Amino acid sequence: MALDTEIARNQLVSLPELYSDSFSIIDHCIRNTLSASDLIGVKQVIVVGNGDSYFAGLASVQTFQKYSDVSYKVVQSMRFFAYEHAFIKEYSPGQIVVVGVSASGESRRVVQALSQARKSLPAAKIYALVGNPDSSVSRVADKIIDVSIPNKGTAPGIRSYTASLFGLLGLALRFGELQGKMHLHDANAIRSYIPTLAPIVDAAVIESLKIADKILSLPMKSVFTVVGSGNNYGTALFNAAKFVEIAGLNATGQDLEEWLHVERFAYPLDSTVLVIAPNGNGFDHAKKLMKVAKSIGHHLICITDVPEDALIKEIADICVPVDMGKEELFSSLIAYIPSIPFAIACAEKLQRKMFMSDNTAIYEERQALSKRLKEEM
Amino acid sequence: MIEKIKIHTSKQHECVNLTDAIKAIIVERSFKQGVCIVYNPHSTAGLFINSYLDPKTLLDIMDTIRNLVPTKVDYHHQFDTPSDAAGHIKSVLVGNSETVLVEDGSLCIGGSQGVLFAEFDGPRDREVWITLIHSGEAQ
Repeated sequence: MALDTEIARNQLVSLPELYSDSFSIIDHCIRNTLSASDLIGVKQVIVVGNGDSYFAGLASVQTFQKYSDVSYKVVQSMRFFAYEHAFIKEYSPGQIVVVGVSASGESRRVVQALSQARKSLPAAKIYALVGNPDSSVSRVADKIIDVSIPNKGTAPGIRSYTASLFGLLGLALRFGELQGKMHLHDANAIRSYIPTLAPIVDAAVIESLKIADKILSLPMKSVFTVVGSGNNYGTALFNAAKFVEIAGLNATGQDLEEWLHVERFAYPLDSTVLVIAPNGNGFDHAKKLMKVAKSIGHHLICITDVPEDALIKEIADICVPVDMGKEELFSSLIAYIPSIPFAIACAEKLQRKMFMSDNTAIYEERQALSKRLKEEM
Repeated sequence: MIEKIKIHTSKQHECVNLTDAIKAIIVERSFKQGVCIVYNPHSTAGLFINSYLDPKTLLDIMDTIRNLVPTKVDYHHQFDTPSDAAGHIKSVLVGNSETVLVEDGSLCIGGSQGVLFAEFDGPRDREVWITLIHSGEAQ
């Protein structure tokens, strides 16, 4: 069955209600599920996941660093169960929490990672952060962080990515308040703030849908690179994945600074670089990257809350002005939005369906792969 | 009419002397005779009358309350934090309001006594509500 971009558009326009309604539900679940005795002695949190779940983990690194008192790392599931599990040291029982993130709860690799964690780290706590509490990932976990949301189609995971971000933010706040890194009152202020982002998200959706067609003036058949820094490194990877999944474009995500070290030496020089540039610690580096990229011929799309910046006005081919919230940390809750209408516009221009689902030449192979993966479960 | 005294506490456990602020309200309102009701609307804080002249008395009171109600992880109330759960119990033990007589525009309390706000889960922004009720005699 061909997956129409209309599904992505519907998920996008439904985002504001997720902020106004679902964050509090997810947060209440976390607070009812995880008590002081669960979290107070934890020293390290290891998030395992793949694809959007992995990206959500990366888009929450600074969130954990700021709000919690734990060491936080994000590992792809396969890398965890094949390599890293053997080199993680347990000192005292309950000091490590391994969180398997899976929107469907049916990721085979996450199940394998959590099962391996159970064997290699017998004193660790195993949590499932899932969109389906009755799932394979949930069944191998000690506790379930339920981030299920009203279903508006699973692919391309725009809403479930948001729910994973909500779950990880709620978890960081829970650690912070129980470990004394922040006061309950301050944690509650952030909890109250997230639903107020709904109109900001709504404005970001409207603005980006309005200008999405501008991307059609840029070359679409070459590589797309999405770059971001801090939490928005995760955003960049997520956005690149959406260009791939929605429009079948060859897109990659990269850290801002790493692009300057590596990809700036890559052809084709007329490819598009999409820069996530919220005001904050990475802003000057984002501008430096834009200057370099433009000087060697790249096209630039800039997603920023500083659209009045003289350099951005001068060199960005397309600038998407969005309110990124009250501080840079929250920008990852908004900055992922504008790329999606661009991906939809590209798909429609190229007459492609999502996930190459209109490509009959590879249909049978895809069906066989899906069957194999299901059997592995 | 309810007057509000705003307080910012700076520690998890702290006593704040409200006596001067209450006296100022009485003077401002030209209130001569009746009762002054002081109410704390927070469920992890308390209000009490005791001696404030030697600050160590308040330290002893707070230390004893902390020892009586330890911050522990196995309270039934898990939705917030252990400190919050303990704060609720401390608040109940101490109480949430005081009623003080006012005569000739002065608070009728002992010479060493003061009206004290007890923070049990700070630092926080807090407030205390005050109302003055005339006794019915001529003002």
